[in-house]
Amino acid sequence: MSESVKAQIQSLIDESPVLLFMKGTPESPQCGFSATVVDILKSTETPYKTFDVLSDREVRQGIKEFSNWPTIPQLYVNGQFVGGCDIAVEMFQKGELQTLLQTTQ
Amino acid sequence: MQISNQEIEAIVRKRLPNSEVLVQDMTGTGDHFQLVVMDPSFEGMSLVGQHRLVMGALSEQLEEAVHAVQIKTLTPRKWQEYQNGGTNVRIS
Repeated sequence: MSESVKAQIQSLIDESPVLLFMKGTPESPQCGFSATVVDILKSTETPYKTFDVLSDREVRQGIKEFSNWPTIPQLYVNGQFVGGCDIAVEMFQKGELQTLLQTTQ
Repeated sequence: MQISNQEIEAIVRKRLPNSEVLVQDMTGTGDHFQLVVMDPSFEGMSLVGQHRLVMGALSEQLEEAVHAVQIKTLTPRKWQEYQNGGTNVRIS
Protein backbone atom coordinates (compact mmCIF):
# COMPACT_ATOMS: atom_id res chain seq x y z
CA MET A 1 0.00 0.00 0.00
CA SER A 2 1.42 3.39 -0.97
CA GLU A 3 1.81 6.15 1.59
CA SER A 4 -0.73 8.28 -0.25
CA VAL A 5 -3.40 5.60 -0.07
CA LYS A 6 -2.64 5.07 3.58
CA ALA A 7 -2.98 8.81 4.21
CA GLN A 8 -6.20 8.90 2.21
CA ILE A 9 -7.72 6.08 4.27
CA GLN A 10 -6.57 7.67 7.52
CA SER A 11 -8.16 11.00 6.63
CA LEU A 12 -11.42 9.31 5.61
CA ILE A 13 -11.55 7.64 9.01
CA ASP A 14 -10.57 10.81 10.86
CA GLU A 15 -13.25 12.88 9.14
CA SER A 16 -16.22 10.65 9.99
CA PRO A 17 -17.09 9.30 13.43
CA VAL A 18 -18.97 6.48 11.71
CA LEU A 19 -17.53 5.28 8.43
CA LEU A 20 -18.42 2.18 6.48
CA PHE A 21 -16.18 0.90 3.71
CA MET A 22 -18.63 -0.98 1.52
CA LYS A 23 -19.33 -2.28 -1.95
CA GLY A 24 -21.72 0.13 -3.63
CA THR A 25 -23.71 2.86 -1.92
CA PRO A 26 -26.38 2.84 0.81
CA GLU A 27 -28.97 3.41 -1.92
CA SER A 28 -27.56 0.66 -4.10
CA PRO A 29 -25.38 -1.82 -2.18
CA GLN A 30 -23.52 -4.27 -4.44
CA CYS A 31 -23.14 -7.01 -1.85
CA GLY A 32 -25.47 -8.55 0.70
CA PHE A 33 -23.01 -8.13 3.56
CA SER A 34 -22.59 -4.44 2.84
CA ALA A 35 -26.39 -4.10 2.60
CA THR A 36 -26.81 -5.73 6.01
CA VAL A 37 -24.47 -3.28 7.75
CA VAL A 38 -26.18 -0.34 6.04
CA ASP A 39 -29.55 -1.62 7.27
CA ILE A 40 -28.21 -1.85 10.82
CA LEU A 41 -26.75 1.66 10.71
CA LYS A 42 -29.99 3.07 9.28
CA SER A 43 -32.02 1.40 12.01
CA THR A 44 -29.94 3.08 14.72
CA GLU A 45 -30.59 6.51 13.14
CA THR A 46 -26.94 7.42 13.65
CA PRO A 47 -25.37 9.69 11.04
CA TYR A 48 -22.81 7.74 9.05
CA LYS A 49 -20.73 8.02 5.93
CA THR A 50 -19.74 5.36 3.47
CA PHE A 51 -16.92 4.83 1.03
CA ASP A 52 -17.55 2.72 -2.05
CA VAL A 53 -14.48 0.53 -2.51
CA LEU A 54 -15.69 -0.45 -5.98
CA SER A 55 -15.00 3.15 -7.03
CA ASP A 56 -11.33 3.01 -6.03
CA ARG A 57 -9.15 -0.02 -6.66
CA GLU A 58 -6.28 1.23 -4.50
CA VAL A 59 -8.46 1.87 -1.46
CA ARG A 60 -10.20 -1.46 -2.02
CA GLN A 61 -6.88 -3.28 -1.68
CA GLY A 62 -5.34 -0.82 0.77
CA ILE A 63 -8.11 -1.00 3.37
CA LYS A 64 -7.58 -4.75 3.76
CA GLU A 65 -3.98 -4.16 4.71
CA PHE A 66 -4.77 -1.05 6.75
CA SER A 67 -7.27 -2.91 8.95
CA ASN A 68 -5.54 -6.28 8.79
CA TRP A 69 -8.92 -7.59 7.66
CA PRO A 70 -9.36 -9.40 4.35
CA THR A 71 -12.99 -8.67 3.53
CA ILE A 72 -15.42 -5.81 2.85
CA PRO A 73 -17.53 -4.30 4.46
CA GLN A 74 -15.48 -2.76 7.24
CA LEU A 75 -16.94 -0.51 9.91
CA TYR A 76 -14.97 2.20 11.70
CA VAL A 77 -16.34 4.09 14.71
CA ASN A 78 -14.43 6.96 16.33
CA GLY A 79 -11.39 6.05 14.27
CA GLN A 80 -11.37 2.48 15.56
CA PHE A 81 -11.91 -0.61 13.46
CA VAL A 82 -15.04 -2.37 14.74
CA GLY A 83 -15.28 -5.31 12.36
CA GLY A 84 -17.06 -6.70 9.35
CA CYS A 85 -20.65 -7.77 8.82
CA ASP A 86 -20.70 -10.70 11.25
CA ILE A 87 -19.29 -8.65 14.11
CA ALA A 88 -21.60 -5.71 13.38
CA VAL A 89 -24.60 -8.06 13.44
CA GLU A 90 -23.46 -9.78 16.62
CA MET A 91 -22.79 -6.49 18.41
CA PHE A 92 -26.11 -5.11 17.21
CA GLN A 93 -28.00 -8.15 18.54
CA LYS A 94 -26.34 -7.67 21.92
CA GLY A 95 -27.03 -3.92 21.91
CA GLU A 96 -23.32 -3.17 22.06
CA LEU A 97 -23.19 -1.47 18.69
CA GLN A 98 -25.98 0.92 19.63
CA THR A 99 -24.06 1.86 22.79
CA LEU A 100 -20.89 2.43 20.80
CA LEU A 101 -22.70 4.49 18.17
CA GLN A 102 -24.25 6.70 20.84
CA THR A 103 -20.75 7.89 21.75
CA THR A 104 -20.46 9.48 18.32
CA GLN A 105 -23.49 11.75 18.74
CA MET B 1 -11.82 -24.27 -8.09
CA GLN B 2 -14.13 -25.57 -5.41
CA ILE B 3 -13.23 -26.39 -1.88
CA SER B 4 -15.06 -28.80 0.40
CA ASN B 5 -16.40 -28.34 3.92
CA GLN B 6 -13.87 -30.90 5.13
CA GLU B 7 -10.98 -28.99 3.58
CA ILE B 8 -12.12 -25.75 5.24
CA GLU B 9 -12.39 -27.52 8.59
CA ALA B 10 -8.92 -29.05 8.18
CA ILE B 11 -7.36 -25.68 7.30
CA VAL B 12 -8.85 -23.98 10.36
CA ARG B 13 -7.92 -26.86 12.66
CA LYS B 14 -4.36 -26.80 11.39
CA ARG B 15 -4.06 -23.22 12.69
CA LEU B 16 -6.20 -23.81 15.78
CA PRO B 17 -5.53 -27.44 16.78
CA ASN B 18 -7.75 -27.30 19.87
CA SER B 19 -10.73 -25.91 18.04
CA GLU B 20 -14.08 -27.35 17.13
CA VAL B 21 -15.20 -26.29 13.67
CA LEU B 22 -18.60 -26.56 12.06
CA VAL B 23 -18.72 -25.70 8.37
CA GLN B 24 -21.76 -25.09 6.22
CA ASP B 25 -21.65 -24.43 2.49
CA MET B 26 -24.18 -21.60 2.17
CA THR B 27 -24.72 -21.77 -1.57
CA GLY B 28 -23.73 -25.30 -2.53
CA THR B 29 -21.06 -23.85 -4.78
CA GLY B 30 -18.05 -24.29 -2.51
CA ASP B 31 -17.22 -20.61 -2.30
CA HIS B 32 -19.41 -19.20 0.44
CA PHE B 33 -19.16 -20.80 3.86
CA GLN B 34 -20.53 -20.30 7.31
CA LEU B 35 -18.17 -21.31 10.07
CA VAL B 36 -18.81 -21.83 13.74
CA VAL B 37 -15.47 -22.05 15.51
CA MET B 38 -14.82 -22.77 19.17
CA ASP B 39 -11.34 -22.39 20.56
CA PRO B 40 -10.10 -22.09 24.16
CA SER B 41 -7.73 -19.28 23.11
CA PHE B 42 -10.75 -17.06 22.30
CA GLU B 43 -11.35 -16.61 26.03
CA GLY B 44 -10.59 -12.98 26.88
CA MET B 45 -9.82 -12.09 23.27
CA SER B 46 -11.71 -9.36 21.41
CA LEU B 47 -14.25 -10.38 18.81
CA VAL B 48 -12.09 -8.76 16.14
CA GLY B 49 -9.10 -10.77 17.35
CA GLN B 50 -11.07 -14.00 17.26
CA HIS B 51 -12.31 -13.37 13.73
CA ARG B 52 -8.81 -12.32 12.59
CA LEU B 53 -7.44 -15.67 13.75
CA VAL B 54 -10.05 -17.62 11.81
CA MET B 55 -9.76 -15.48 8.69
CA GLY B 56 -5.98 -15.58 8.98
CA ALA B 57 -6.12 -19.36 8.75
CA LEU B 58 -8.14 -19.01 5.56
CA SER B 59 -6.25 -16.06 4.05
CA GLU B 60 -4.97 -18.04 1.07
CA GLN B 61 -8.45 -19.41 0.31
CA LEU B 62 -10.04 -15.96 0.72
CA GLU B 63 -7.74 -14.65 -2.01
CA GLU B 64 -8.88 -17.31 -4.46
CA ALA B 65 -11.48 -20.05 -4.13
CA VAL B 66 -13.55 -18.62 -1.29
CA HIS B 67 -15.55 -15.45 -1.91
CA ALA B 68 -17.18 -15.09 1.48
CA VAL B 69 -17.11 -16.55 4.95
CA GLN B 70 -19.56 -15.87 7.71
CA ILE B 71 -17.94 -16.47 11.05
CA LYS B 72 -19.28 -17.14 14.49
CA THR B 73 -16.63 -17.59 17.15
CA LEU B 74 -17.32 -19.14 20.53
CA THR B 75 -15.37 -19.67 23.71
CA PRO B 76 -15.72 -23.14 25.30
CA ARG B 77 -18.34 -21.74 27.70
CA LYS B 78 -20.43 -20.25 24.87
CA TRP B 79 -19.94 -23.42 22.87
CA GLN B 80 -21.59 -25.37 25.64
CA GLU B 81 -24.56 -23.00 25.59
CA TYR B 82 -24.67 -23.21 21.81
CA GLN B 83 -24.77 -27.01 21.85
CA ASN B 84 -27.46 -26.95 24.50
CA GLY B 85 -29.49 -24.70 22.23
CA GLY B 86 -29.00 -21.71 24.52
CA THR B 87 -30.84 -18.58 23.48
CA ASN B 88 -27.83 -16.38 24.20
CA VAL B 89 -26.04 -17.65 21.15
CA ARG B 90 -27.56 -16.80 17.85
CA ILE B 91 -26.34 -17.51 14.37
CA SER B 92 -27.50 -14.85 12.02
